[in-house]
Order: sequence, then structure tokens, then C-alpha cells
Amino acid sequence: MSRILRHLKEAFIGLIRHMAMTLSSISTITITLLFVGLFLVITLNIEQFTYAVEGSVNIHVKIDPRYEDDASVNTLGVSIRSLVGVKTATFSSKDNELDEMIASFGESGVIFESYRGPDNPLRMAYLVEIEDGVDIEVVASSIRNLEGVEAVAYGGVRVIELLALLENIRQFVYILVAGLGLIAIFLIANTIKLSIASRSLEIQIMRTVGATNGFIRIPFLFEGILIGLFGSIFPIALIAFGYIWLFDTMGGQFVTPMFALVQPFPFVYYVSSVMVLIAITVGLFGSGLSVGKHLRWKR
Amino acid sequence: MIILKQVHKTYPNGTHALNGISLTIEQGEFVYVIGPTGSGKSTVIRLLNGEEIPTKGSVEVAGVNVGKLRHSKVPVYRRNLGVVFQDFKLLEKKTVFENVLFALEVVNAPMMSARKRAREVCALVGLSDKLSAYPHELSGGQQQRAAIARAIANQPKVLICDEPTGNLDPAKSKEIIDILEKINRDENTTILMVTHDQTLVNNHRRRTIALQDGYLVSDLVAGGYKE
Repeated sequence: MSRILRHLKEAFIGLIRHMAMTLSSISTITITLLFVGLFLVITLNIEQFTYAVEGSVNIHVKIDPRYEDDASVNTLGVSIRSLVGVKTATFSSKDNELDEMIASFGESGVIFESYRGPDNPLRMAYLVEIEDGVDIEVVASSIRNLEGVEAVAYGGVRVIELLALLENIRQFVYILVAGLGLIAIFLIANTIKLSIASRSLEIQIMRTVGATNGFIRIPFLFEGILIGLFGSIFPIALIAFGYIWLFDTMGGQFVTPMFALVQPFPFVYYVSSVMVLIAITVGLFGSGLSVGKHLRWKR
Repeated sequence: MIILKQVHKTYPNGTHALNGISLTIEQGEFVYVIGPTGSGKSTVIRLLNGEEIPTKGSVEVAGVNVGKLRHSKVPVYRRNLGVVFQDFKLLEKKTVFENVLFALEVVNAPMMSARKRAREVCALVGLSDKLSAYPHELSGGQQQRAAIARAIANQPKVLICDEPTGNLDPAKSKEIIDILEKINRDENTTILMVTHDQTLVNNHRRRTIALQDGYLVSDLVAGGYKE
């Protein structure tokens, strides 16, 4: 125990001795982690959105009235199902289409009840569900070219565009995080290098009297970890409280009810622990780089 | 205690620092190593503390073949040795007592016994009244005594002194040699002292090993600086 305290004390002394370098390393970590937090929040919410949207993106295929006989309808079904990227194709009768239409108008929908019967003006249809990651427009245009198709419609295009935009932001943040992380590692490595240089006499004495290599290195590794931890305080607080505030302010949804935000608890705990872990890893990596370079002895 | 067998050392730049040195130093001996600059004295020290590996031959200290030691074993092996430097190498921000304690702390000595031992060695070098003084408050001789206390704190079997009196006037040098002789006597520590100081070697006669150009040119048990 007293050994660990001793290492910690040495680490703190090192941090204080090079306050300017320490502060710049800490602020780089802070900025990096802010983006890491942002990245995590966006990524995990996109995942949830995508999951919600998946069921709602499908193609509505209206059948030409000249092809309403059973044989033609079946042939069309087979053709659609054989297209690449089509997951399922469900037949929907005129009655079923009317039910859907009435339902979509809510209470006032009952006025369309008069359409029911042999004179139903609606078309028979296929509801086509497509596989994940398939371009909906490509599939829709192939279906449009099939015999017996009157019209093709698909909803959710705006949704897909929005998701694509979020995905782009996410990738941008990802690159930013990678770049900032590298800068943080570099700055920490430099801070530790200064610490090592200013303790060179101590290190020489320790080596002369037979302190183990691990013993000599540990305080510097602690120093890196401490920089990481100090750097993570502000971004964790900001992301955690910021997300809780955002969730409450937006009523738990993003733009539309379809995009339900991830519940803040235990989400913020999860995000915070990932951020702490990244902070420690970056700190350890930066100091490890310096220790490996400047405290490596032939003998 | 120390056995060198046909030791050759050639540095990567081609310098032949040592050429077939063989010598044996018994436990409890007090030995001077003399010779001009570049004669191989420093190389002998570096071979003994495991910093360098002999190109040929073997170096054995306290039963350990130093050249064959695995890297990870070197630090623990070094606890067999104490080293005193010409420039003292004391930590300026620590008191005499803390400087000595430092050597014990970093090898994980238990705190209570470490403090006891630190006081003990400070008394041995006559610095009991200077425990809380900082190095800059001490004379050169006192600083070197503090450095000696630190070097023997871990009860090394061998004390290597690299020109310990090089920065001191004759009176202070006498002080240091007296303390080293006392340590040699009281703690039965083998002492190997590298020096340039002719007066010292002639006045305190001990076994004297002379090196020149990497060769052992004389090994006189009677001692004395011989030209």
C-alpha cells in the first residue's frame, strides 16, 4: 500500500513540476473525450433509430387492373421475390388495402366504407420488405419494370436521408476522435519525457542501488493515467448531464416519435465508463511510449 | 568475492578497453585500482555492476556470473554492490537522512527497519548531527560521507568507489579514506577504490592494482604508487 502511495506521490510531483505540459495534455484529453462521448451518443442512438426504421421501410406495389387474375398475380409475386435484395413480398387484397386506408384516416376513415364491395376502386398490392443495406431505389425501379405493375411507392425516403446524414456526422466525429487521440498520446508522451528528464539523477541512483525496472517505471505510468483521469472529469460531466438534459428537453425523441432516444439510465453510466477506459488507455499508451523509449536500458 | 578470468572488453567502436585481465579479490579486502585515464578502470566498474558484458572471459561477483545475468535479474544483483561517485550524486531536494532512506525505499525495504538502518549508517559516517541538513548546507567531505552512507545502506557485499576523493582537498580525502577503512573493518565490506590520488595510496598502503591500456601492469599486495 505504501508503495502505491509512494508511486502516486511521485506521479503527482511530476505533474505539478510540468504544469504547462500537464495542462495541455489534460485539455487535449478533454477535447478528445468530448468527441468520444458525442460519437458514442450518436452511434448508439443511430443504432436504435435504424432498428425502429427497418420495419417501416418497404415498397408498396400496386397491381395493374388488367392483371388481376390469380395466375398473373402469382407470377408477379414470384418475380418480385426472385429480385435481389427482396426479403419478403406479401399479397394484399383490395379489402385489405381499404382497411389500411380507413385505418390511416383515423375516425373520419369510416366514410370510405362505401367503397367496400365488388366496385372497390383500390388496387390489389404487394407489400415488399427489402433486406438491410440494400438501395431501396434500385429495388423499386426493378419492380416498376415487371409486367403487371401499375405503380410503385415507398415511404421512408426522408428517414433514410436523415439516417445517412447522422451516419456522415458519426464518421466525421470518428475521424476527429482518432486524430485527437493521436495528438493526446503525443502530448502525454512529451509530458512524461520531461518528467523522466527532470528525474534523471534519481533514476540513476535507483538503478545503482538496485531498484527494479518496474519500480522505476511505475510512477511515470501513473502520471499518464492521472493525466487521462483528470482529462476525463469535465467531458464525462458534460456528456452525462448534457444527455440527460437533452433527453428531457426533447421529450425522449429526436424530431419524430419514430426516433426514440435511448433512455438516459443506464446509458450515461455506460458511456461514462467507456470514456474513463479510453482516457486511461490513452494516458497509459502515451506514458508507455515515453517510458519504453527513455527508460529502456541495455542492462 | 570478485573473480575476473581472462576478461577482454571491446566496445562497438573498436576500442579495446580491457585485454585479458585476471584477478581475484577476497571477501573483506580493501583494494585500490589505479591507472591513467583510458586505462580501463571505468570499464572494470561497468563490468562489475553489470552495465557491460565482457567480450571474452568471465566476471564473477559474490558467486554470480555477471556477464551471463538475464537483463531482468541485473537490478536485484546490483543490491550486492554499493557505488560512491566522484560527484556525490545526492538529491538536492532531500535531506541527508532522506537521501539515505531513498536507497532503502526504492528496493522496498520495510519502513521501520529502513529508518533504523538509515540512522545507523549516518552514525557510521559521522553525520548523526546532520540528518536534517540539505546537501548544499554541507561541505564536500560531508556530502561524500552522506553518499557513502547511502551506498552502504543496503549492506552491499562490495563497495565500489569511483574516485571518491577526486573533488576533495587532502584533509577531506583523509577523512573519507578513514571512513572507508572503518566500513571495511566494521561491516567487513569488500572495498574497491578507483583513484588517481598518489598521496592517498602511498599513505594508506593497501593492495594496489595498476591498469594501463587495458592491461594489468602490477598487482602489489604491499601497495603504494609505483612509477
